[in-house]
Amino acid sequence: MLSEWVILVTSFGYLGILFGIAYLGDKRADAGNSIISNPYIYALSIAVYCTTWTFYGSVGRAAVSGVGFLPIYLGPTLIAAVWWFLLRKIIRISKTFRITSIADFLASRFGKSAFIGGLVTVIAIAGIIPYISLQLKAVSSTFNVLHLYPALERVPKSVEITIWSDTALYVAIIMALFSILFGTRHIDATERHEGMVAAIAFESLVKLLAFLAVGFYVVFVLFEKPGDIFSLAADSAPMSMLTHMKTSLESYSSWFVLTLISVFAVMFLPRQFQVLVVENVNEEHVKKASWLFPLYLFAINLFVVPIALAGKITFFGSSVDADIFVLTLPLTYGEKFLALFVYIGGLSAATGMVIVETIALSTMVSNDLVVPVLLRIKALQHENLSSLLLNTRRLSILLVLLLGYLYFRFIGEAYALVSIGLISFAAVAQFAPPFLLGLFWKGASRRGAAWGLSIGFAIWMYTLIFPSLAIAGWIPISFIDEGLFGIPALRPYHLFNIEVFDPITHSVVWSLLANTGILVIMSLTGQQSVQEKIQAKLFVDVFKQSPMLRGSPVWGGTARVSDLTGLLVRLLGQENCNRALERYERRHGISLSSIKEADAGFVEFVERELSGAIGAASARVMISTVVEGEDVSIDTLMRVLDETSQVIEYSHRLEEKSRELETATQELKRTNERLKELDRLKDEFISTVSHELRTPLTSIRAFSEILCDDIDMDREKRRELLNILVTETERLTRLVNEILDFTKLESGTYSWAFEEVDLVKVIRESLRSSGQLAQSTSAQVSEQLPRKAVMIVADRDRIMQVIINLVTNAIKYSGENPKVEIRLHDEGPHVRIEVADNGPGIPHEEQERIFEKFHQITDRRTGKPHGTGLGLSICKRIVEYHRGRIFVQSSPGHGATFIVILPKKQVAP
Amino acid sequence: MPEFRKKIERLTALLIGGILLLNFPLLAIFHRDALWFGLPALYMYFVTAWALFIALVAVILERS
Amino acid sequence: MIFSKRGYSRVERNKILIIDDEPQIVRALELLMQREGFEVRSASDGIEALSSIEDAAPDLILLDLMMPRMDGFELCQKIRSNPAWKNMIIVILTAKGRDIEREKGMALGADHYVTKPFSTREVVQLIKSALEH
Repeated sequence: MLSEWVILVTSFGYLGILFGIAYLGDKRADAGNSIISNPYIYALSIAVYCTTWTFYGSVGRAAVSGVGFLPIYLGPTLIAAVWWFLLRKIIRISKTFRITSIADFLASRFGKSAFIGGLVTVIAIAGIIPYISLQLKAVSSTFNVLHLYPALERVPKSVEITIWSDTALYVAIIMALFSILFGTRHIDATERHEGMVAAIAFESLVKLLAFLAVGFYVVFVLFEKPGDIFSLAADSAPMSMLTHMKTSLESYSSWFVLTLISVFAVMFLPRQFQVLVVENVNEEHVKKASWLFPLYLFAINLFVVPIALAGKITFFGSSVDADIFVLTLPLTYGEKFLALFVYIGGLSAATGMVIVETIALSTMVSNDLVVPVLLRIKALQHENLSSLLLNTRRLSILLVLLLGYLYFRFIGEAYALVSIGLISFAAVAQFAPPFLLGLFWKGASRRGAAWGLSIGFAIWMYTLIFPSLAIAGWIPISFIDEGLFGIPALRPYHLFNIEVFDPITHSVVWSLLANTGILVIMSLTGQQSVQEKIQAKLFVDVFKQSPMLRGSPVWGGTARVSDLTGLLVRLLGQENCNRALERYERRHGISLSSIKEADAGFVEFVERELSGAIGAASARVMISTVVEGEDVSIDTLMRVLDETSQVIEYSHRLEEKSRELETATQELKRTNERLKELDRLKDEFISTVSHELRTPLTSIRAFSEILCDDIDMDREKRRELLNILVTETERLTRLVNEILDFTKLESGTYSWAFEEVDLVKVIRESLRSSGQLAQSTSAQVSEQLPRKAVMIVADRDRIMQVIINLVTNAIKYSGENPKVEIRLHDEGPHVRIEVADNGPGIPHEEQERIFEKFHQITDRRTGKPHGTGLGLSICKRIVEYHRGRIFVQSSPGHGATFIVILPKKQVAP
Repeated sequence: MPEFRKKIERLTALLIGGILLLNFPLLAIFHRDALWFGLPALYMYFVTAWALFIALVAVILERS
Repeated sequence: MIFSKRGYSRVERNKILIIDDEPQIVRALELLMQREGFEVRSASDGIEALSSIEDAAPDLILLDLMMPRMDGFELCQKIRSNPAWKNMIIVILTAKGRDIEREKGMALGADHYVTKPFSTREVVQLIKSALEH
């Protein structure tokens, strides 16, 4: 349909653009003006997770198993929720110790073990090769489909043609060259590949747009709206499986396991570790990426099901592979350019994955497999290794891609895209137990990790790789059906005769179980070496360590500066070495040329620089060749570490102590303030009380003395004076009683006598008591009481006191012609007592304050206060003790109504 | 840093909730022939639960 | 008017103003002062007192401190701020017994400070000797 040349030119044009972006990114990075230093680019680069497997395979899988493609994207979405602390810890560790790959990370964690580094590399290569072959398969077959369409029967099968006419081989070679150009232009692999990240982010954008374009085309152009696709599909019987999705989940165990291994894959696949951790510019970017990346996954999967259904409907009855629906749908409807765009999207997905994956793998191969061997070769001891390292990397990229091609040609073609990918996921899942346990548990030991990884890897090989060899015809098929040596319990898909799992679930369950179990048991039972303990501590407690620790004396022996710089030159090249040394001199303000003997800080610095280039394990070996005398004073180091963390711990505790002290001081201050306030109030109370007492006392004393002095006073006069004496004495008595009442209420020492009382009776009785006052002032007191008894639980005498007080106040404060009315309303759970007068009323601003103690309201007309100022305050306290409310309603000039609301029942106080 | 701790606790709770929501047995509730807005119930459930989860993570992380 | 006979014998009687918001105390003081032959007037708060003083300045005032509208301290200050009333004798009669209040009263220009309840004889003695000087 499209000529080969158009496709080729477009492909190379696209790769050229990528290369341009990468070149620009590197230039900007060199100029110190990074274009990738923002969370959006970071999130897009993480989307290198979506390969051709996503781009083509999701639709393929959806066409077969409905929502079965989803766990691969749900897993990453879920784990991204905790990246904010999980991933940040990993990044912090990796930045601190210049970790360059996942192999380096695990080797470092387990005592800088070269064995672990090598083992992880081997597992990674074995696991990733099928995955790479998947990309080759996708690119070559889509290329063929695109230019042969509609004659799909002419798309060649690899087995039928010679290697030299196989498109996939050329795809592999071109990709290898491209990756080499991209990833190994620099001599120093430690620097981040800013240009590559920029290109990857761009690729993520392209593949997303391409997929969304097909999605929109299918949903809104071909079918007008998504509902149509579903209803059309539901009508035709063979497709009901997909729309109902009832039988689509093979089993929940498979669902769960797929979710789990995709969680591991998104973090531990070498390329994911590369973009997430090694290429991370700023820890803070993790925050946005934690939801932007899942959002990307969500967007790219939104149209998967509709496209799968549309393909099923369109190609019903024909043999078109569901894996290439994305491409064949636009082709069938004559949308050539859309198809070309889709092909470019798929190419993006493939190249993105291959570039990052091979660069990550090549670093691992050279640092964790080749360098350890080179270091043991005597003849190379003084050679300049930097160009050798670079060539090792280039060669390993080529090798990985060729292995990928071979897997594709001889094994892979029998599988669907997704199945191949899952084999890789299962392999990478083996890194999870040592990685995650090692991250949080200091006790995880090197031996445990080594054995766990080995056994897990072996089970993976036995349960997934060997059977695929059998299916491809390289070993007898009876291996699958009858088991090794014909033992049924050793059947690779049904170990121990368990038949409930599908092959992937089966493999993951057994390998992870063995891996984790061995790691835990051996860690618990074995001893860790000192070196292991140090590394475990440094990793697990990375957030607790002070930056000071970086310069701690890790090396006990002595070394010459020239030897150390020699090492740097050998492994980094002269130019990079000079740059590193300049940096060191600037930072420490010293000139290295004047120093002969290296201090521990400089040794540590060189080791770190070397780690970046050749991995932690190898760097350690290199350094040990030039440090003389006591190799590493590990006991000292351990002590230093312990002391450092003790100091930090101690200062944490000190800080905490001082915070506690501060709060205690503040607490004391507050208490003191309150006591002072109470003291002031008490002082005021006494002063007011004594003032109140002195006033009647003054009259009494003065009149008594006058009477005493003048015994001849006439009868009339004498009676007047004696009357004054009587009322003043009464006033004094009342005052003393009220003060006593008040202090009792205030201090809570009053003993209450709650009982069931009839409020109507109580009010009548109160009115009788205040009758005398009413008479003397000729006040009219009226009542409005219910006929029936109103029973409430209350302290009878106290309630009476309240009513008498209110009525007396009402009479006293009423004007010339006092009218007082008392009313009682039964309001269900409450009663409402109202005492209304026709006095001058109470101004608004006084209405709250009249209930405060010693607040006397002044008579408007005489300007004189009445009473002690305690009465209402006592009433308020009594009512509140009954869990009731007292308040006044009044507008000046229209009298005042005091209202008491009391609950009928009392909860036990 | 209590604020930081709170964030971590919320995110962890969200992760656990997400795992439960997207696995057996809660998932089995939506295995039915019913259509929601013309689309199969299970498919709609995934789309909404997924979007909601992402939104919650964003809210927790971005709210200062 | 029992006590008036002795008072009339003098050519000029000393004028006294009683200022207190407690009617009973005012009544008692009136009786006492009239018995001594003084010309007595009364007021129940500061403002009333001030207008009474403006009408006719008394020789001596008996002043309570706690009063509505204008309290004793304020009135004391007002009187002392008018040079015409420089020689007016101010006797504070109050139930406020704290030292701080006594000091405040004296500082504001009062001549004597008596705490309630007081001895009638002592108060009469004090007033007499204050007026003689």
